[in-house]
Amino acid sequence: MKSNNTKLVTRRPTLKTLSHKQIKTTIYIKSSTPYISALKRTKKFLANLRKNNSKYVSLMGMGKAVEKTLAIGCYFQNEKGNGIDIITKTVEVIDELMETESMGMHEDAGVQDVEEQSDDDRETFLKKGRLVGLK
Amino acid sequence: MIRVDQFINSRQFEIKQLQFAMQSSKTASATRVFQALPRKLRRRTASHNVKRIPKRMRNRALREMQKNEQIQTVKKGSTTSNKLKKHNGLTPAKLYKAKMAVKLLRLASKSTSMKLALPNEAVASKYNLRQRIKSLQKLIKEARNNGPDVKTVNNSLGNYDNTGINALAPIPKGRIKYCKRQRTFTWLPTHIWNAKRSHMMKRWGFSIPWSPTQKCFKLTHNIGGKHATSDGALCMDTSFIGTMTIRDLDPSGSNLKNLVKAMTKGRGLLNKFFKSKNLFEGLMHDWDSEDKNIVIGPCDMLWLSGNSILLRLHPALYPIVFNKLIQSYTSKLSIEDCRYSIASITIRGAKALTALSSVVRSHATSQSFEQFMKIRKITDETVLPSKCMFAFEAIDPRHLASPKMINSQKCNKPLTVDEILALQNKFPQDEFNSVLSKLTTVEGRETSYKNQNTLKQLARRRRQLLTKEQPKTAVPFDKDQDPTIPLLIMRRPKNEDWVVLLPWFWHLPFWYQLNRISRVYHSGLRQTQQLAYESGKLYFPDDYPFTHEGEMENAVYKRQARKNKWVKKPLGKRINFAKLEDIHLSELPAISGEIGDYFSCDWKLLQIINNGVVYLKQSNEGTLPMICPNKTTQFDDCKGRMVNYFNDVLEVYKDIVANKFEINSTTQGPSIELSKNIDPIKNYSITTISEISEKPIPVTPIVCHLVRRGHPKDNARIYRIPETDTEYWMKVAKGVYKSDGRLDNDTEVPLPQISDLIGYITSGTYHFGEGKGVGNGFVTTVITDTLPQYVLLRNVGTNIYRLAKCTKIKL
Repeated sequence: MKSNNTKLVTRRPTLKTLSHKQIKTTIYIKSSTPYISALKRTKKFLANLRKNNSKYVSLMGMGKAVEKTLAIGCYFQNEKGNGIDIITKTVEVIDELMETESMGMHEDAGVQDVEEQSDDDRETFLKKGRLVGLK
Repeated sequence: MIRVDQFINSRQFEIKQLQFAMQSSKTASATRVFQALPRKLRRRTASHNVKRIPKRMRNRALREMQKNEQIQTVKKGSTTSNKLKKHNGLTPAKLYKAKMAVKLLRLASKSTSMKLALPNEAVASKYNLRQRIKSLQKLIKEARNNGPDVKTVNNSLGNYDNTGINALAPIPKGRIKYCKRQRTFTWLPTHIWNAKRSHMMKRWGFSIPWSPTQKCFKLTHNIGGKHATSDGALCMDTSFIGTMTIRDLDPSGSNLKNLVKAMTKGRGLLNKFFKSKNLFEGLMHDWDSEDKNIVIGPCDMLWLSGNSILLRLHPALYPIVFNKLIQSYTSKLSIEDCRYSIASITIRGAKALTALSSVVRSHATSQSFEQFMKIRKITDETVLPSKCMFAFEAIDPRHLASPKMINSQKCNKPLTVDEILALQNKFPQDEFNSVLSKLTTVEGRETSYKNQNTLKQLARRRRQLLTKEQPKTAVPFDKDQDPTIPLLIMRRPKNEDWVVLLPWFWHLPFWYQLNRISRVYHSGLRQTQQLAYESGKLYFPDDYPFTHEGEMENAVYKRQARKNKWVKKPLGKRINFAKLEDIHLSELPAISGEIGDYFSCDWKLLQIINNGVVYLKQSNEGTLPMICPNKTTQFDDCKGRMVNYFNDVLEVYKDIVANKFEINSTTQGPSIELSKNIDPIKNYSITTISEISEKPIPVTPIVCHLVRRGHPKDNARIYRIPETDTEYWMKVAKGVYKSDGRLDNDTEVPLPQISDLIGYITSGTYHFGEGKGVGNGFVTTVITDTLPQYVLLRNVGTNIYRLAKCTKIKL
């Protein structure tokens, strides 16, 4: 579907359909997430495990954040003695593309005004680190 | 000697003991069962009336009430005889009046149940009680005799379509009991519901929920914000946002196209909006005036077909725009005022779709509905294509016993990316158009009310289900009898929320059901504002100082409120703005203490300072002389002020402020305008002295993220970094550390000049999502001609400068 007269506008986030329980036990690590903040957050989630009636906290990291996610996993494995499972996975994401031709009907619009959007499917890789709290 | 295992075991035992002790002391202190309820569910009346307590706790609550020998409330009217209460100590005149009021209500409900339209004499405020009763009695009598002039409606709830065709619609008749209370401020369909649960605000001709009674700042952030931990939905009755449909009488739609082109500066005619029929969210420009850059305000626009549009506008703008359209376009366009005939619900948050999908049901197979059901589990809707709208005919939501998600095999398959793409490629445009035409026409809405069930009728049908071998979760839909409701659900990608448009009188049934779902919270305008701030967007009218309404909001409404609050305080306890010291590098005799108006963003000052600096730099070859050491001020021959030094510029400002207060008007023309194309301006020049206070300066909206601690407040001043201090501030941006490794926040700060003022923060506070102070505001670039990367912020009444990084806001 990708041709020469298209331009990448944005990359859409991954598809998320989370239940109440999943929301309370899943942490998405961004490349911009501070390491210590992620640790604190994970600890907080682990402390609330019983309240949410679940057995583990999942940490998700994709692309650039994979390394950081693994680092957090290692911290809990080595320092805290928690058991962790590392699961790798491929996730489909959607890119938002823009046609550079056929700008529309008129003259004086900025670039952001003339978004003709179409989506494209593209495969990227993602690693999912799963953390299991030890009981 | 200690052995490891023993040591660990004993510590483990100690921890367990401690936890146990904490647990037991926690439960021991609670004496009543409702103390275990979360804060949200606590009711003050729960200690008197058991029904306020959840059923599983009621038995214990009853026991506790008996133990305390507490008097329980008894159901009203069940034990005391009505006869004893009858007169209630009223004088005959008062008794007569009370009885007549009751009589009126009885007659009114009688006439509505007979499907009669309420006559004007019964509702209009100029008629007295007797006249109203008489008119109703006459109406009922005529209806019984099958009189020819009796107007009827098509349902026994008194609902009718209230649309103004080429004129503003009259205030809806509503219920006769409450019509007197709506003379100046109309109620939303959910007014009574909201008035019980929110603080209301009377503005723009509507009574609008301002904020829920319970504290919800953090809740709003958690649920309405854009993050993966959002778990719930925030809904709001946004029926006060006016809707109008504009149809071109010419089938080619050329008149309308011209109008839209002028209104949106051509953007509304782009392929994305005109051909692909995406929702347009953007600025509306004044199409009449010579200066095409005057912005009226934000608007939502949707092309219904080649020659008709749907326009949604803020109530502050709606009557102005509508009347303007009527004046200039009556012969060419047909404009329908649907303010009181199309209502809307705005809902956002991760579970917004889940909540909506548990309430709506389609009566027949519908592609759009199926698509909607497919995506109902998505918690992060940014994956959806930019055109994401659903329109279908729903059944009355009161048919459902309780709102629930549809659990069928077809719907429960996990969603894939291909299905998201199918949403955009297989948009059922024909079906969509047919439903939309029902929603946007008078007849379509009118038929949707046909045979609308009363609650009693529904309860009867539900009772009948009990005796039959049928699923009892919902009253089955009867194709021939039951009404269908045209619904439009659309995502507003820029505002990041979902808007449901539906006929006015169908709003309430949906609203009730929606709010029965757990973790759906109601919100008010305050929350809308908060979320706009948090996502770095502008909020109308507070963050639109370049429009007339925004200017009034800032310079009159909010300013007055803040000032009154300040004036009320005793002298010793309020900030003495005039005596603030060490604000600027060089103290000028013209101004002492805080600059400009203390209670608002003083755009006039900004305009004069910036224009003045440009003027002075032009006449002094790039340098800016601050003050003449010999003389204070100079006047020319015509007693006009001469501007040779920066101090004179401030004197000009003082003159204008003094004049402004004398004649008490703000009719001086705008001080600011939105920068064209939101780009830095080049070749900006001021040639005459009078231009300094007349030429509006272009401003650009920005978001400022503070680099270090502290947070900006509303009306904070924005300064550019003086060239001499760049080095210092860049060091601060990187971080200046103390010897113990912590950040040093106590270094001496070089102060900027007054002439470095480049803008104001219109809304700023501590941002929970970012974890630092963030403010939205406007800056000019006339002094620097590039948008600065870093700026300095200073709150009003303080002399502390904070470094902030700024980014442009896309409009």
